[in-house]
Amino acid sequence: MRPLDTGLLSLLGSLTLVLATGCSSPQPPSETEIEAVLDGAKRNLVFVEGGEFWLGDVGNESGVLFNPLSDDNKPPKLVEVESFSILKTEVTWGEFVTFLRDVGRADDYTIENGFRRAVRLPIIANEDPASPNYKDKPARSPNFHEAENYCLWLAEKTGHPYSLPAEAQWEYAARNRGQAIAFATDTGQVELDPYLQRPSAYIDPMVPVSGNVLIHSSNDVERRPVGSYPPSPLGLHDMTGNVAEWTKDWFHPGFAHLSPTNPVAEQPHSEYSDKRVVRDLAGHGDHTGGSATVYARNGWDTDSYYHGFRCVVNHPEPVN
Amino acid sequence: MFAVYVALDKEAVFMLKIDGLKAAGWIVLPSVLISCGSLSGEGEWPKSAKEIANEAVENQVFVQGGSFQLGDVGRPNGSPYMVLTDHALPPIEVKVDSYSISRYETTWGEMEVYYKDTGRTHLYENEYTASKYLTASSDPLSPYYYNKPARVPNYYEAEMYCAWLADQTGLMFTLPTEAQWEYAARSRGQNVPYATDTGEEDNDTYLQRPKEYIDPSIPPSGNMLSHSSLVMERRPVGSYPPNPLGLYDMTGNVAEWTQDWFQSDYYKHAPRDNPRGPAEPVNPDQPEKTVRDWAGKGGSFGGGGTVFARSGVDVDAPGTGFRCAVNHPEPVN
Repeated sequence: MRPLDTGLLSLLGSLTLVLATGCSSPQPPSETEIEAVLDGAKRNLVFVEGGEFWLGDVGNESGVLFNPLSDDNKPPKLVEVESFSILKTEVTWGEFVTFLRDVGRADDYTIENGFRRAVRLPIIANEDPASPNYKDKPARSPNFHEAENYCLWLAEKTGHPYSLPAEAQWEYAARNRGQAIAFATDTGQVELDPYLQRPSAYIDPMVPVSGNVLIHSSNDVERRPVGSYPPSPLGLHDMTGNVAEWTKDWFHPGFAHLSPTNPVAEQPHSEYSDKRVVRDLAGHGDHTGGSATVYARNGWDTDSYYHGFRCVVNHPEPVN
Repeated sequence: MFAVYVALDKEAVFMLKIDGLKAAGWIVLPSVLISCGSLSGEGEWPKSAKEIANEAVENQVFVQGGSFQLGDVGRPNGSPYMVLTDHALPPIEVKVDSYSISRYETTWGEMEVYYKDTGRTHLYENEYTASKYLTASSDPLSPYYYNKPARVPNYYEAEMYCAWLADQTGLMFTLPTEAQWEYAARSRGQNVPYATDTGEEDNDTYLQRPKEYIDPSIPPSGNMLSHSSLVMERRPVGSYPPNPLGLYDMTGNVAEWTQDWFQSDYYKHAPRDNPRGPAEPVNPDQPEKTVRDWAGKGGSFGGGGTVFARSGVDVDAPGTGFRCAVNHPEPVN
């Protein structure tokens, strides 16, 4: 069987899976399964020493803006972030679904329960590398809240202060502690993996990884397993590309509202009352006008179902 | 409406052959009109994503599955309709499962909301041709009027529009397969060359004049609009009477993407059970999807405007329209 056939079959297979999982309640995970997730969440932490940096579109050495299309990340603001740790990979389907099963909500996000997107991308994890729901591919949280809840679940289980990253933490880490780089890749440049750069009916999941980043439309549900591309100098994978990521900040245009130390937007903006900040718009498929750079930011409704995430630990010493 | 149609099916086909097409049209049409959902022209533009998704479900027409002769079945005297190519030969007996298909072609107004909702507008801002396709006009005289059929910058946007509807509705919206397209255009596989009310061609003269004399205030006449893609202007979707199944503009207005890769001699190799096209593009360096309804691109010679006509279009080529289907064995509305 050619690889493509495998891909198409697996698409059909994952549809069958949706139907199958709709009929029986998933079992809660075993202690061993939970331990594996917690171990990973600890092992995958990268310690980021704090410091001062200009948050926002600082422009390159020649003064050319990275993200001229947007006003929301200008002017840059000098802020200080305390040392923290951040997951080097995006949270995977395997990890995310283990959490949902543990808290008894794995069944909440089915078509029958009103989560319509499940018709194309169910909230499940499977063992099929050709499926968009493969356990090692980045999860797309059905909304902001479950992303936040996942990190708080880690905190509760481990006793370490896990949470979603503050927007400033996210950008500080993506920019290798605040450097004026454009992309969070190994080289700082983008070398697109041609995977997904063609109609999705012809996506062949067996094509090996190439390039250093995957940028493709969020409408396309397929992605690559987390950590498929070389990490940034700080050791982080997919801070540019794969999926876009929730941060815990409420969305405000610009950075004037932030305090200068450990900034987090804890109150919603009156005009954007239900929007949280999403970073790595390259993961959402944006790649023009600098939207793929680590400076691009956007406010998304908290019930948006497109985005992935990773967690941080707000502790000034390494925890692993 | 469908029960009536099923009952008439064999008799209707028989009558088509003997008495011409009008008899069948007369019997089936009134029930079609009663069952019609909202006409696409209703309601205020611009609409919200939610309204568009709701209307997309309402406007699905259920098509009871069955077996039919896919391809150029030929005139009653045995001569083929398509004389310039043999792409539609030989006709083959295939089975299609029940599904639903949109009553209308996707419009500029709908596409504009999709591009904005999915944040895709900026992708084409620097491309001369594609950038013209992103914004709908509120002016009924404009070729980009909300209710006129959209053309998309490439195959991909058509596919993604249907996926966008799937995400919002929880229904398996997708582009139709080529076999689904033809089965529906021919009102469940009848031997008709045009997807019009009568099965015959009565082209609106609207665009048959020099460009500067096209007058959008002239009401539609005839039962279809077939014209070259070089002229952007079209009629609002649903301007002409539907085919007996209740579908509009399956002949004429714009040509339509299907989800199948194009292979010119596909009917010689196609599986008989729900054919979906070759598994991969015939020429991977220049992948082509199958486009149907060439009357929508003006194909009028040698049977090129019939529902049998099929050809491949480069997936990156702008200018083709589409409608979505829903793969579900029961009616969805």
